[in-house]
Amino acid sequence: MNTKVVITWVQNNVAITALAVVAIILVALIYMFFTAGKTAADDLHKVEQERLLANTQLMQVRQQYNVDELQKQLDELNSGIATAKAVNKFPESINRDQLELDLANEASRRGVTLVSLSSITQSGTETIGGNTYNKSEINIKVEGLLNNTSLFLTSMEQGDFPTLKFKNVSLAKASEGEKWTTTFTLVVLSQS
Amino acid sequence: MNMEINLLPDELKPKPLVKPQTLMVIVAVLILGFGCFHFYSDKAGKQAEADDIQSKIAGIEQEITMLKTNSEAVALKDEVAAKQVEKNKYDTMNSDYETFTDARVEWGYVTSSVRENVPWGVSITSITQGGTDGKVVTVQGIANNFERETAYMAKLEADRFFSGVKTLSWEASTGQFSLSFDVQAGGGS
Repeated sequence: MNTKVVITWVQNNVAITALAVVAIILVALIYMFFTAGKTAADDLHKVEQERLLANTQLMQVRQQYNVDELQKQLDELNSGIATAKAVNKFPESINRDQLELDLANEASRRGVTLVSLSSITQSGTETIGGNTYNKSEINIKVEGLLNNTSLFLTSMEQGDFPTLKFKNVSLAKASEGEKWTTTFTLVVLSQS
Repeated sequence: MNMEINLLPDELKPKPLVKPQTLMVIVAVLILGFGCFHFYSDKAGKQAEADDIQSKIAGIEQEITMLKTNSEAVALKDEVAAKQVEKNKYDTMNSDYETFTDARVEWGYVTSSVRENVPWGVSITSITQGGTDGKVVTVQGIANNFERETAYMAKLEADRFFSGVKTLSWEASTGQFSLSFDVQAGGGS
């Protein structure tokens, strides 16, 4: 009964019905374009962020791969290395001949007698500030006046081997006279 | 009083060109059509803008790739990295050297100071390095009396690099004593 009424109404109002159908289609299209517009806005926001990121990367890469800038950095580093190398105290290796020569010369200059000298041996490593350095050791026995022995030790400490130190130091006065016998291990650190 | 009376049957009466209801629907359709166009052009505009940005990003990425494959720049960059490592190595060694000297006991200074501080009535017979870190010094000797030995201790204590001077042993019959003290890190340097 209702269907019949509707069909009759539609037959009598064809134009309005057609326009109503068009209106419904338009509403559907508006909804579709509105949601698509929102998605497009989100996509636009996303690509804008990507462009910002890409621009930032480009600026970084331009700076990182700038030949003039790199050449400048290289020159500065070379200069810095030369300065740091000049003040570096850790030798690449120990010049054993030079060390023995220094010991002999300083002993003679300070008036102490080199009684015995072991051969220089590599005795493992020592860690300073998290870095490892090679350790060379030599056992030494000298005789002389206490004052001269102090001067000899100071000369060695302030000599050509700035990474030198003493361990197991023992000084004993002779039972007769003023001479002292000193035994110690001389340690020199070098780059590992 | 005049009154207009139309006696024609309904089907013959003049009808309006468009029914009011139809007109309303037409207006509604036009408004909806305009809205539809507005949302479509908005979406299309944003899509076009996004596509334009995408193509610009592609251009930027191409430039980045080109810069990163510039052989001259790449070679220089590698050289800079290698030099940086080398410089860091020397900087670290120079810093380590300061640590080394700060911790080192200067034995020339220690022995000299131990000798120079010996007072009248005291003689020393041995100086020995001890302690786990090598910073403890033991001195043995002979003193005329305990007072002389303590005078020696006071003089050693006054040295700014020595601390914790203490008697380890004292033998009144022979005057033999043994004392020890700590050498401060970097003592004498």
